[in-house]
Amino acid sequence: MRDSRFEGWPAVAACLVAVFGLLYGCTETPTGKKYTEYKLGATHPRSGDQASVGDQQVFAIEVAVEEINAKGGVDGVPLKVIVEDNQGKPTMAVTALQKLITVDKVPLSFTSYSTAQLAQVPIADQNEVVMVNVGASSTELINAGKYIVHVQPNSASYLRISTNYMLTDLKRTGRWAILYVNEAMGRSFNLYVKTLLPKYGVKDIFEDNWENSAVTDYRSIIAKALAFKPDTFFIGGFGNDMGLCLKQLREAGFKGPVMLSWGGGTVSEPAGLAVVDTYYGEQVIPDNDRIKALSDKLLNVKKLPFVGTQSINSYDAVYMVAEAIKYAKDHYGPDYFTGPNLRKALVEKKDYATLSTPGVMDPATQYLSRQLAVKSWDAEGGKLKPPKTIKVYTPTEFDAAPAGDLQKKS
Amino acid sequence: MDLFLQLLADGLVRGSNIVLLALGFSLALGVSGVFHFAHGAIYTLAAYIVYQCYTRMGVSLPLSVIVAFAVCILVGTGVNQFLYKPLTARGTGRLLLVLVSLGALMIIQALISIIWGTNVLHFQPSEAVAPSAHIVLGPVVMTHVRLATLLICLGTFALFHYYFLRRTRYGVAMRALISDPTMARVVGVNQSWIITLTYVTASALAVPGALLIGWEEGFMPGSGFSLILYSFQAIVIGGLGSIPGTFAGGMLMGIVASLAHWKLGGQWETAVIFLVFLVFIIARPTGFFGYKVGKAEL
Amino acid sequence: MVDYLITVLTFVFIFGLAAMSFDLLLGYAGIISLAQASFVGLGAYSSALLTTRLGWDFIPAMLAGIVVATAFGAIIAVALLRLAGDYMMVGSLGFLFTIQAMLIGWEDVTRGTVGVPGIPFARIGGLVIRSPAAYLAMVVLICAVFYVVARRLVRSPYGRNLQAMRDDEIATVAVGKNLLGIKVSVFVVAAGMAAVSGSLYAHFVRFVDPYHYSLHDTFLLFCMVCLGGMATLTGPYLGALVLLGIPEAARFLGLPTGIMGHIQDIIYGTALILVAFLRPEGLLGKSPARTSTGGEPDHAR
Repeated sequence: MRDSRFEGWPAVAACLVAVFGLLYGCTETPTGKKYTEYKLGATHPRSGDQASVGDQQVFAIEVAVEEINAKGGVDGVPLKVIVEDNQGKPTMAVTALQKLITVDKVPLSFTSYSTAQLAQVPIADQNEVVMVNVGASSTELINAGKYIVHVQPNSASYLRISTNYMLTDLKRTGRWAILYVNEAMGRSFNLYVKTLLPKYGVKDIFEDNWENSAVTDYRSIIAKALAFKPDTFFIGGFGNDMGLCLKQLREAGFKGPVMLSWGGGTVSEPAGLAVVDTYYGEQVIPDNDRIKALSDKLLNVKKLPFVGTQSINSYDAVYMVAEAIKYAKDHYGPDYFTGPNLRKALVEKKDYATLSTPGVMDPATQYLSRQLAVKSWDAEGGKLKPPKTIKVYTPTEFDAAPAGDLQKKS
Repeated sequence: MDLFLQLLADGLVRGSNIVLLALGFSLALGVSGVFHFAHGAIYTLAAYIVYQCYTRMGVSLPLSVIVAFAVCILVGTGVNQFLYKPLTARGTGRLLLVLVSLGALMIIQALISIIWGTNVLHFQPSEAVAPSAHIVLGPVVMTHVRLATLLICLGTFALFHYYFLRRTRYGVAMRALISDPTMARVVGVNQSWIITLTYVTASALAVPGALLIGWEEGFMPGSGFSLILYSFQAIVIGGLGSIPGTFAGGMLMGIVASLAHWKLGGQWETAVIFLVFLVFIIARPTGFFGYKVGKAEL
Repeated sequence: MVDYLITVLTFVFIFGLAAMSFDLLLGYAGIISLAQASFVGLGAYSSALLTTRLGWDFIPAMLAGIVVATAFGAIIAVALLRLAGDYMMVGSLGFLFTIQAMLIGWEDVTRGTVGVPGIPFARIGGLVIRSPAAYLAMVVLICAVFYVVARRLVRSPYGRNLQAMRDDEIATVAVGKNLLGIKVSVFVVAAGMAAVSGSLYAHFVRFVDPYHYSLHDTFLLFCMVCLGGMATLTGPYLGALVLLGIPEAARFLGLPTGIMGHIQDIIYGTALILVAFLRPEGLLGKSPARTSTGGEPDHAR
């Protein structure tokens, strides 16, 4: 009946592991103080449906790191950025960040993607590691945590200026329909625009959503929205989903203007000519030599299909961090390369005039200021032309992060 | 009422997309007894092959489609020949076979992702994409391609069920294997050969659907996976082993998916579909036209 | 490096526990259910929501998770276990999707697609388990406890009934055993264990979202069971070690990060196919995993 071989070995092995674990947990590992390189982390989508956005960010980071190291690094010490794939999923982002913190012991990590960042923020705060946001814009990120610093403007800013344009310049005060992606970012767009519209006198608002960025058939949602007889639409999503939704909206017969949460290649690629008469707020990309050089490298060396604000911000973020490291080294004594010190440095240094897109750090919200504009598209001879700037807003007119307008969501 | 009609029309088109994928799946299941989930990946592959030939390499569209047929048939029969056949011969359990099929699906999907990336791709170059021409039938608006999808689905089903399965030698042999494999062998049907032909037919059936939906909405590596789950539910609701059942089940699923929006918000669509499926399973496991299922003796 | 290994080992044990619970159903009882990942999800969400929203401690939240999972387990067991093989499998799949849809759609409770961030470290009374090593120790202890429980169960008369039922249902009924009762009870036990695995996951990653409890995840658990050995209790842990270890080892090969996720899928798919061909009983298995006789393919009737 009973086997003669000893079957209790799994339990014994388990006990051994447990004892080892407890013993190990009680010992401290010392950290070195001499720096031969500055290790930083980065969690971005490198696979999954957000991978193209990840490319925009990671390639720009790589260019910045190469340039800085070619000039000798920060006071002679090179930067090293360790990139982990968050696969466009929040759980992967969390484990990626945890790995960077516990194994690579980075004091700072570049990150992107709203839902992922909201999941990472508690980890960053607990471990006192700085997160530098180069690509996420959900309104929920405002004041989400102490250890998150933003180079990417918040969508609240984009939405404020585009809503303002639609209602004051285009006078779309009739009925509005809002369609959005049912993820952190999309939901925040919906909530925010719903608080803005009544301020301009809009009373009748319809809203509906699609499940995630992989949906390709929006017709049922569109049919329902059209039954509401709206005059204007607002579509908030990731890019490709917005493009398809827009195309199907035009196919269903809607001819009025449409406000988008953002634009650029990811929207116009699936939508094509449907983007004519759509409007969105975006960061202004200045026309200076540095940006030209960066674009050149990204388009020709790294082979990106287009250069967008995500790349510019990722590039600037690395330079910003490099300046903060130098500031910390000059002001905070020998143990300067830690999360708390880097955070302090980023905020205290404040003025980042040497970036490709210069900006000023707002200490209250930890957002770097950016210049914004409303953009749209034209078509000529049946072909789409690149987006054009319609109206520019100075940073003081519409803050990078209008924290006063928003209630904190749970 | 207008909204209801529009949703109904959209539901019929959705149903058509499901049916076009489900027909091949159902045929494979009925004749060989295998839940051929890998069929979803073959469906996706069709779109990518045409993309590669037509959009990337400038090959003419008809030739690209022929190449797609060839590749899909090759992969489909390959999966049967090298995976299902040897494993069934060894008496591998039902569940393991399902999971092997899912494994094949995942492998093909991963290869597609590595080769072409995970972005949503389209057949046409982006600067010239225009909203498709549409026709208006009363309160219902539908693009030409979607109308074509519906008609092609009806046509394919009719051709397949009323002609191929009833009037051709191979079709009749397939039906024989579906209803009673032992008897079929007794009357001289070469089971192994007919099963191979079944996979040829099923894989070929996957191509039109993939191209139609790819043209309208674009495609990505996961396109086939989500649709194969809906197809699976359609087949179960319709009755395992029944082709008309598959058609009815697929149309029903499409209509339910679309009509769910009538009263509920967008985020409830998947929940409604699965709930309907679950209710069906519990209340009538054999589906509309399926054979009687053996109840476990208690 | 050691910290990294600790993280990987913790995942191995957490998934191993879930896989072991799955093996109880598949390997010992011969019940073909695809819904196991749902129970992991129910445990994870119970822990996540009760600790973040109501401030519960680790153990009470985990127990609540077990209660929720066993409740759902009982319901679906009674609903579906009367059906024969194929239909049971299909029905369990429906259940899997429904639970996932519920986790996504019932936003007021589960926070929907956004998930539940900021799950606190496991708190037991006054003790907070922060260090990864201590957490691994706790996970291993809990797994050891359930291993012992499962082993006693499997070797008891109840366990013999299970295996008899797997091998020959009709004979089992013939000697007067209550088949439905046995099926429902093992289903419920497996559900409870899976829920514990979910709770352990929630307090480890400290974030849960609804996308990890679907067919893909049941598939992963199934691969672990199959690879490690059906109808063994240590096999699933070995399967977890292999299936989680290989992609982690591949990380060090220096492949471009873009394809890591896809390579993982290829590994899982290939591993399963290899197991089906070369060793259906798995690495540690004793009895073959065959449930039908060789020869002609069965039918979907």
